[in-house]
Amino acid sequence: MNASHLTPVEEASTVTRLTSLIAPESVRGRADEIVQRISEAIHLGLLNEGDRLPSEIDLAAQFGVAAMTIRESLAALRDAGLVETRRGRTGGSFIQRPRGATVDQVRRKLSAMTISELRDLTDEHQAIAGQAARLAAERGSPANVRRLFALTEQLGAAATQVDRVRADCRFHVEIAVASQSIRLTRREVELQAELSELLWLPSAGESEVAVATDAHHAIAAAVLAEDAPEARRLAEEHVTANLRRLSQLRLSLADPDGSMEA
Amino acid sequence: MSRPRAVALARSVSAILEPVFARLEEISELAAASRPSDGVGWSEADLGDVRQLLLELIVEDSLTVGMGFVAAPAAIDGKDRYMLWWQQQGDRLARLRLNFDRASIDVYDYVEMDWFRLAGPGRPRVTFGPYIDYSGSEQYIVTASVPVIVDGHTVGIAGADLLSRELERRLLEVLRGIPDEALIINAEGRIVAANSPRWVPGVRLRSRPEAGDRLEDRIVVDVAEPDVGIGWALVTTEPT
Repeated sequence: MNASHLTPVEEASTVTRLTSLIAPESVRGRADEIVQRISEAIHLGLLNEGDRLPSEIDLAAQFGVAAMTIRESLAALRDAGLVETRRGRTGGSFIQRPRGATVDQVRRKLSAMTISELRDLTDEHQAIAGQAARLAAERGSPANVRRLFALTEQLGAAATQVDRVRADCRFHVEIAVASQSIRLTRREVELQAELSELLWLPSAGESEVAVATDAHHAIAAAVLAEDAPEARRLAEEHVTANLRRLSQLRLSLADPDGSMEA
Repeated sequence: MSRPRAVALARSVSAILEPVFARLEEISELAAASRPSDGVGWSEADLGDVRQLLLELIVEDSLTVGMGFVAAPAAIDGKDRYMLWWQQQGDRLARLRLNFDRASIDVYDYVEMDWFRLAGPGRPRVTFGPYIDYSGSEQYIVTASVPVIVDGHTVGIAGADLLSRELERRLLEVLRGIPDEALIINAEGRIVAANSPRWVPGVRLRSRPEAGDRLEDRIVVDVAEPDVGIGWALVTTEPT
């Protein structure tokens, strides 16, 4: 291969990087899928505020879709407040810091799910998070352990919903990173994209933050102690506690068709 | 296995990485030369040749998925953190841009990372990994680096992200030629490659083996260090 055959792109790397850790979901339409992947990447901190997206033509080439589809996706991202498009020579589409989901958005998402669907989601998360924690205790490096404690501290100190979501997600992803399994990491990233907004409604109180911070601290300590069974047990317990929080929240909401009021 | 044989094998292991380090040294020298002699006002504008060289060297080997120059804090004028890093993705080259805001939860603070931190006048080569590089390359990789030194001070590093699966394949070619059980471990005691199903890459040994130690039901015959900078070892064992 020769460098002259390749076109170096100064700004595009942020989006080409989306392709490795976030797997496409084939059931959705292409425009929705692109919206989903870009917004997941923003929520998970893979794309940051001010990052410039590649041009419509480059994006279309990267995702293998028509430019029309990209325009549709960008419009949806603008509506969601995640992307800002500026005109002119220094223009383009730029990532905006997510303001955090509104209570209404999360309520809608949550009330569309049954308790057994929530249970199913956390069943899977327990399998992934438990196994990742066990392997993290066996294989983690000192750098992973330092990061786990730092992220635990950041969850305790997070002042906004967006920061809580990020510190919580990033902790679980770091556990998976420490496990040395790229597959577990990919799955954890996807699960966090589904779960974390539900867990950190703006109404989540200080006591919920304190309970989650304590749970993260205990898991980090078990990883540091290289106690694999304990790390696994604590991670599973943490996920069970999250299910209880979500179920309680779900039970407090009316069904979308209003059947609870009937 | 005799001692000279183990040393020769360790040399075959480092030979796999020699071309990588040769490229990194070339980048390092060019980066050092691009710096104004008094170090004042060193900026991205001075790094045009470095950028060009990176783009030429990164495509020489499919093992390399990323390559770049990473500056020491404030070495580049007005920049607390600075990275000129390119990634090879299929037939595309793209510049990597990361979040260096230390107040942010998603910060990518390379100053704390071993491939950056450990390279210096006393350590001309660092090989770190394998690890999952979340929010960097997002792949399972090994990062190799060399310091950029000016007047005895480290002003940055030249580094390369190596795709772990390709490196493992190349290392295994060497290990397959060894009649004994042989494994390559990194400084953390993590297995990089092994010619026996008893050891799988990514797993960390409880302690660093030395000649004469028991390793499960076998005895360590020899431990030889390939010249890759930080504590990699080629370990061979035989039945008790």
